[in-house]
Amino acid sequence: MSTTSHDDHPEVSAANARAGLVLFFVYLAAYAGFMALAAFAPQAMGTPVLAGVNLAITYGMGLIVGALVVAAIYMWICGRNAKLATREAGQ
Amino acid sequence: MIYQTSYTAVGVFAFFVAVVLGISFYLGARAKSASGYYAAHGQIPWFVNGVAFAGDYLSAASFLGICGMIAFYGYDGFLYSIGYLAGWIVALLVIAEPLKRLGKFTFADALDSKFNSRGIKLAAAISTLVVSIFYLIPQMVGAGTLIKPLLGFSHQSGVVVVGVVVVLIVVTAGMVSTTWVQFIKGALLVIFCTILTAMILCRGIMTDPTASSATARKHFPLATFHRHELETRAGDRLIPPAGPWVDKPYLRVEERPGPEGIKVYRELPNAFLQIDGEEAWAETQTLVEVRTGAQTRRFVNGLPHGSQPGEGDFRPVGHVEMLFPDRNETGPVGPLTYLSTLERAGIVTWASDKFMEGTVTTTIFYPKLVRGSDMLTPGSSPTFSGVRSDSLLKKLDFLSLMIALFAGTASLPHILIRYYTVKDQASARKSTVVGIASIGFFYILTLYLGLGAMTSGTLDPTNNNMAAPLLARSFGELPFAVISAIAFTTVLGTVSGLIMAASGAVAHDFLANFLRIEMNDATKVRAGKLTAIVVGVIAMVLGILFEKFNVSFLVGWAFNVAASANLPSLVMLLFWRGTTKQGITAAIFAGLGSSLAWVLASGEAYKNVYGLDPASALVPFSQPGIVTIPLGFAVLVAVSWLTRAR
Repeated sequence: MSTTSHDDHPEVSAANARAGLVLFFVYLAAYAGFMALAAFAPQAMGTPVLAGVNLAITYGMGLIVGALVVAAIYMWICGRNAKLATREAGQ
Repeated sequence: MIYQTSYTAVGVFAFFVAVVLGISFYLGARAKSASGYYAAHGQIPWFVNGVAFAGDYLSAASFLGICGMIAFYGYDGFLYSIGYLAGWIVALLVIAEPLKRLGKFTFADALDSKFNSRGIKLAAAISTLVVSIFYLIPQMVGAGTLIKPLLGFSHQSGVVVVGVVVVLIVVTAGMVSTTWVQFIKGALLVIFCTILTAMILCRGIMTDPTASSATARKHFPLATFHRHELETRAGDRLIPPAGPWVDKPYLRVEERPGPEGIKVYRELPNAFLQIDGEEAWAETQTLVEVRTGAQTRRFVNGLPHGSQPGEGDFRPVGHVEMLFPDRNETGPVGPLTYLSTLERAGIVTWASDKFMEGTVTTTIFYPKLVRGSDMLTPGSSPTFSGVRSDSLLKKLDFLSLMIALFAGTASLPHILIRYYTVKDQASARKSTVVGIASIGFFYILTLYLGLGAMTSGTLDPTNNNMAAPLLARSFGELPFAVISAIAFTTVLGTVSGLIMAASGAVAHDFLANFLRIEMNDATKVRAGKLTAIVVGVIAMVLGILFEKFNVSFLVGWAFNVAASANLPSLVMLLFWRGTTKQGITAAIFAGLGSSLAWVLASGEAYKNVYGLDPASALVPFSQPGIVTIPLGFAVLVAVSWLTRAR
């Protein structure tokens, strides 16, 4: 039995894909909110929100940092799925 | 502006090229097999692959284009950063792992994994080739545009240097050396931009950039006057407005005889410098081109254009005019304070205006005094000014571009092939996360680099691609040399990825799989290398032909075309069992054809490609994504439904 390929098992892949899709829609909603604000309420983007920094920059930076947070959560879920599969395989 | 060749920059760049080629030749022996050439044996460590994603993805357009756009228009450049990065979420969460599981060398393999259809192979190969070449043109033109001010050679030599070096890299060790070039470039770019950002924050914001650096000493300050003051002083030398100058916010004073001896002042609408309700007028910089026969004489600020004594050149611009609360400098500031201080400041930015009268063309570069808050919200650039208007079509154009950036990243063939260089799905995932971290961090830095360039008193009013290197110059010649050399190396990393993608599409998808030409392992590698040389030569020719082309919008279009052609098939194959091979083939051709046609019929193309009136364009806005991506999905579903097995 190979040590690296648990992750590539069909059940694990499917579980990962499901989690990925949920996270994807969460991020998509955040991105869509940003696009809508920029397109339809550009003045609102000037409101200061974080230590005097306006909403446009805070939201934009938030999307960049948020991508990394989403990526970290996804990694954690995938790691857990692989671990569960290993445990089952061991039984 | 006229640039002196920086021999340090030439030296640093030559050193990079030598290292990169050395690595390529050293690794060449390891890439003799097809799996070595096309996919680096799937043996690249995930961390290296992740940084290589950054090197692959962060093109010259990202680095110089975004910094330049932020330096001149503020927040709108950062919109690109956000869109380019957000697209990686699609790659990580939807595309990466299935693509790795289903494919071998190219994304056509993955699309075709269930069907073994020649139609899909042909469609995917054509779309890869079209998207890669679309993306290659701005990179090559960028190399030519950069080399002149950065290293002092001609446009053609810039294109040829890049072309030859890249072909050498690709031919020696294919994906193995391409990966390492991209790794080195990605790492250098992120590290040096971090250092530069730290230097910006340590310097803080100051209202007198001449105090900070040698280059800023030639800085063009904001000189303001009242109208009556100018009129009294000029007397009968004041030229009454005529021809194109009627009803324009300019006052022209004849300092010396001849069209080049005219000094131009422009009205400076602003919220700061009004006395008795009267607007201030500001001094401008002028370029006067006088055509006599086949010859054109150029005058800058009244003197023949040149850098010798008695000649004139543009003076660097861009600074903070006033800080609130009132002071001359902030001293070192934190990253958030930097932004909030700029938001409250009064900033001088520059724009240009052109007038033609017979044989004389006058280009005026004029200052604008704006609130920082105006520059730090969307809509201050010509590209995105639509969001501040009431026109729904202009808002749709903006939304369409943001959708294309989001959907395009995971459809770019030169990014997708990187998934075949790692060993399994877990490594594909981990390397994407490393990619997101380094690319995201870099994009946050672009905001500081752009704003730093905006306020350092070193911008070239005639060339916004030079913002980042000129910002580095405000810290000294060595930072300038290093950043210039990195900017040029940036082109190498991206172009080698693109040529690799195109070479795989032709040799693997088209020759071997579509035409079913029998090839053994060694011939397949040879076919790939030969294609790489041909594509490299085509890229060089296009790079020279398109010299005068506006490059930044081509990149946006490449994202639109990639997303429209590739994304519907990739997504539907993964999530809809009813997808048929005819559906995929039709969707690729429909997305590719419709987005290309839209792009070529758009106002941008009318203005920049054909030189026609953009108002007469056939399509209502320039960015096709919002229409053609859904169209690709619709075609796929419709054709799959019609051709499903009964």
